Amino acid sequence: MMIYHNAKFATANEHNDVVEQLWVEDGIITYVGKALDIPAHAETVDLQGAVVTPGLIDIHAHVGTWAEVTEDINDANEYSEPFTPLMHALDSVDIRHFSFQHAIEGGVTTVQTGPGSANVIGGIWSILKTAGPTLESRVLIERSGLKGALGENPKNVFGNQYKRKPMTRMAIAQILRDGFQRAKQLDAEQQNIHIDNNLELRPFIEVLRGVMPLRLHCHRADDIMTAIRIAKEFDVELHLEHCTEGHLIVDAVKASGFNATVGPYMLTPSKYETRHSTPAIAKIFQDKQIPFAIMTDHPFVPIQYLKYCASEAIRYGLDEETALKSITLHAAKLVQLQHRIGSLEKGKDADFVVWSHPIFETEAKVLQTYVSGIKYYEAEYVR
Amino acid sequence: MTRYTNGLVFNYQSRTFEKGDFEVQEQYFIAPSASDMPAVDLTNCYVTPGFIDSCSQIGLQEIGIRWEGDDSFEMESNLHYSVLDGIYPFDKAFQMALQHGITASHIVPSPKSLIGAKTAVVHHTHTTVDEMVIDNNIAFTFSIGHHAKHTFFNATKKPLTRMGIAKTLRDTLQQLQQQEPAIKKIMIRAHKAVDIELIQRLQKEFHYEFHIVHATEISFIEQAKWNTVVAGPVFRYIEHNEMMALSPNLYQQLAMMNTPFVFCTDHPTSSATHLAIEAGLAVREGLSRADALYALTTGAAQFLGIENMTGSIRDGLFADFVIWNKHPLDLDAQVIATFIKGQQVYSQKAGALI
Repeated sequence: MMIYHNAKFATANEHNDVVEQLWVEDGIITYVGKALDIPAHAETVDLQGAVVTPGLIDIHAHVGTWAEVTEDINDANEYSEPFTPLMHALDSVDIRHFSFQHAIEGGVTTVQTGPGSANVIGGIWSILKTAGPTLESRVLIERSGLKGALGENPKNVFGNQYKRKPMTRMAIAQILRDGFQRAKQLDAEQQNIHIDNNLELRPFIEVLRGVMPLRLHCHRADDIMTAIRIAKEFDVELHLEHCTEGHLIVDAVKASGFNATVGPYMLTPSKYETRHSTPAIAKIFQDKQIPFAIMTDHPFVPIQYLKYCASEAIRYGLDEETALKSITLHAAKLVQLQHRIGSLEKGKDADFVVWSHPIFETEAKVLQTYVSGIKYYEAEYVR
Repeated sequence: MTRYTNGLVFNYQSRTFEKGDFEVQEQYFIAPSASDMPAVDLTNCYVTPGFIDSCSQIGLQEIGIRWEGDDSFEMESNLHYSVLDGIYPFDKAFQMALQHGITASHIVPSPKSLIGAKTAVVHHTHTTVDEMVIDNNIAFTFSIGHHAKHTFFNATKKPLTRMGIAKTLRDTLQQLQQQEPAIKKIMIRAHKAVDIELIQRLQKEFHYEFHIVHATEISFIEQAKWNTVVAGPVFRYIEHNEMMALSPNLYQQLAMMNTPFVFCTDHPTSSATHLAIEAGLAVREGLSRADALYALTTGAAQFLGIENMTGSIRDGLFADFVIWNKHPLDLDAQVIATFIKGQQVYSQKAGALI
């Protein structure tokens, strides 16, 4: 058993408790609270007055799939077709890619990663820890959502560059609906259909059956509404990815009942559909009680700067507790992993970050990062 | 005339915040008079000179727009190109930068341009470019290494190698001496040590003041004396293999090498709104807040040769200043109001005076 002490443990639990000790056994948190007498068999680690937060969670990133140095080896978009539901993050992720190391160095211990946004239907996302010896050992949820994209990206790649369908938002919506309609029909005809990995419509059936959600990339207000309209038509669970103009139609987003993963607003708007991007969206969603998490969309904002995305939301009015939760507990809830990660609480995975200062202070530097109780990173410099 | 009292004002000499008053008459700071005229009370506020972005493409590459709003790169080079002819004053980024305390930018062409253009420093107030200019023909820019090679490779034109780039550079510098004798500063974008070494050789061959922009691998080169380096931006992704060493460590390494440096975002490479975050990352790595703030203001003005016009809160300079609710390098600090030439150009509360 390991006991971490002499630090402020910002638990990010429902009450935002700050406590004195963290006990870990076999990678699981066994106690978190006031200082207790230390059992004889325990090992202790003196954190020398540091600040500890839960491991950070980024539920929209392309860690390990996106070529960051040369486009030639990009494994995030299967550009050959606009409709590629059988693409799966696990077949694309390279666990030795430096983006995982950067994640650990920035205190990010969990990511949702996978196909990008070129295709109307891109494929399946997975949720992974950012450290661990094998890909299998890192998996938290193997099939965490069917990823699709509306708006400029598919229009640009297929319509503008390849001169083929979809050239318009109308065709994008039609391709999406077609997938659901065919899957619905198939599912109705053959109730106990054996859904194996090669069945093209399997992901749609899973979404229709509520096994996993639909995750749609939508920046512009009209794309957000299209996403909501289609999800309602087929009665499926939708996550609004980016939701960049969500603040312009905030009541409609609220009324939909869906939640959003916002960002990457720390990126200079590089296309027309992101020109209204603003970090103020976090505060606006908070005020309307729309559940949200903050993302980097790594590599677009580098994963190690996830904390800075939350900081920027504070600059625009979000309170510090919600900012921290938007990259820990709330992010975990949005992917239904709050029983395992997102806060420092008994029974959860021992994923935590040791900071030199309170997380949102300018001077705050990651000193150590732990995943499932194992220390995967330690800063070289001495405070 | 307006008097501002009780703010914590950044003193460019001591590099600390000191409680004090200052006065503005028309466009300028003036010596405080002991008058009992009504004043704007800035109790609990921090006041800095307006931040200056030392390398930016703001206005040259309009945000949220692609080729239609991009005037940062020309395939055919010409020594008479000036960035002033490409700046779009209504680029939304100017307004966003004001919200983050940046009142002026040094505008340079895209990294794609082996041979760039004459640069200018402009205020972020926007009506016409001519009204925005603080000073022009400040430097001539070049870009070497990956980007320059890539541009010409795509067009299969010379130069295709670093040798070709070096030859083009030397020829151009000679022409420049004839055609634009007023220009004393040369800015060269370079990431890799091998390219920085070329700049080192050029320093010995030409009587220009050479400045490196980016300088990602500068710490790989031992014992060199450099003019002010326009460092960073580091808040960005690793775009190509020449940036593998990109790290916020850069700033602390420069400090340890006793090399003077200033900050930049190279907007839109990193957003202009991230200038304070660049400085914040330097602070995280060990630079003092005082030195970081100096480099964002008076230091940047000095580097650009406009320190007698802006960059400090002192008599006779343009009244370019920013009122903050917290220490400006706190990650959650908000700009309450921004002033350029004494005029309020941004206010947190729409329409309000401060």
